[in-house]
Amino acid sequence: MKEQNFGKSKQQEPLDLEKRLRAYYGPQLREQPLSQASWQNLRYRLGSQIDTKRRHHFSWRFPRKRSQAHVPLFILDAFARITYDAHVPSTPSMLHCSMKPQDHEPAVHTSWFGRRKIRLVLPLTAVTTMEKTELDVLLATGLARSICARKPTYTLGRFLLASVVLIASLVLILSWMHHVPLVGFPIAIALCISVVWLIHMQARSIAFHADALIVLWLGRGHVCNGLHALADHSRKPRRRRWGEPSLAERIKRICGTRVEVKDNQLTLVG
Amino acid sequence: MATCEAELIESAAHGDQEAFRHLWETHHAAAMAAALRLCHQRALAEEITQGAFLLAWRGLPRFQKGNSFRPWLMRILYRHALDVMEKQRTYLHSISLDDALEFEVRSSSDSHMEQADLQEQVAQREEVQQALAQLSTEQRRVIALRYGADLTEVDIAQVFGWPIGTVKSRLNRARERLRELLKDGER
Repeated sequence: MKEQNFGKSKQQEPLDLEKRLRAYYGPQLREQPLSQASWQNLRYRLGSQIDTKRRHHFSWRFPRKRSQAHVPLFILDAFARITYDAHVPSTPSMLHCSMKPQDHEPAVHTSWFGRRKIRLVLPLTAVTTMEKTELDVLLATGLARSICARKPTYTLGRFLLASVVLIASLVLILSWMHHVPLVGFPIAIALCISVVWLIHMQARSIAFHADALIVLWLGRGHVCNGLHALADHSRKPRRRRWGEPSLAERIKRICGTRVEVKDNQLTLVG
Repeated sequence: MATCEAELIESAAHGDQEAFRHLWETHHAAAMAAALRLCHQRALAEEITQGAFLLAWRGLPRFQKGNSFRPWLMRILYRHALDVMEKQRTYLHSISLDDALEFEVRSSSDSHMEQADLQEQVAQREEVQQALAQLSTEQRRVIALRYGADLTEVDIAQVFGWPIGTVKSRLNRARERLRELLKDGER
């Protein structure tokens, strides 16, 4: 009898384990469709298959070179359309894109040294939330600034500023060598501060020239819509950055309108 | 349908994202269900599904023509899911009542479950999870695919590229160890 019971429990044991494991994982689930945003996120991560292949082939030669695969296709499409409309020769390799956390504001950066690189910084949600006009204005701004920065007047200005920095360094070295650092140091500092201020002014001048160009390319209405949309998504549209006019300033210059002040309204209960 | 899918695969392998979007639309819901059943966390399952499709996209140029896309994708998904779960040590996370309820609603048509029953179920699942956490990585993987994906030993061998004998022995050892651990837990 005991043996029979023992045999029974031995037979039942594996069944129990199976049952518990099946209960742990549960039955097969019905299909779980995901939202369109999920595909958009994946699409951003896909990049270009051809570039991935190229990167694979040439990785031993250019191990650190960033591939165009980082730029989402819809951004490349918009960039190609803008450069075509503006009759500006360009290659997709000019454009780099980086995605930042959700609270980051969209921005575009260009090289101050006149290199043909445009770096677009977008929040992660931009793939789904960004308006077409916003993207167009950002891309056109980057392109126009990179063109303006290469103009001979600005190149000459940069050359002069570099010379001033060189002179400041020489003054510092000479004053040090002649044991009069108290004379040379303030001069060098003053020269450096003036160079920084002039760089700031030049960058702002480039930005305003670039704005005039994008109005020509996209039309004033399109640019205004884009700038207003960017200002709506910005927490501080009036904030100026170094070498960069604020969105409110650009809107006032281009559209002649003002940015609406966002009030944090309180909902009164009771 | 098969020809159409073959054409989509061919185009996607040459970088056509639109073709890949069609493949995503056809297969992602099933992939998501499989991932969710394995990891029991919706956010993680979505991440696994996207990761598997990304790996599939990169592997498309090596996809053998004439084969079916779904089983190939699922093999990628299972390998990726188990890697992610090991990396995130999901076996060490405790099961919350909310997760359990959501899982219950999703897996059964009868969503009316008493709180006490649910708590009992969570406790039992916790016990199994703790036992699973004490297995070796390989043992956990074979158990997950055997019971969380209903794969046969042959299929499991194919997913990992292991000999079938290895799968059988790992599965047997894993069951023995689990039996011991769960028995100890009951005492």
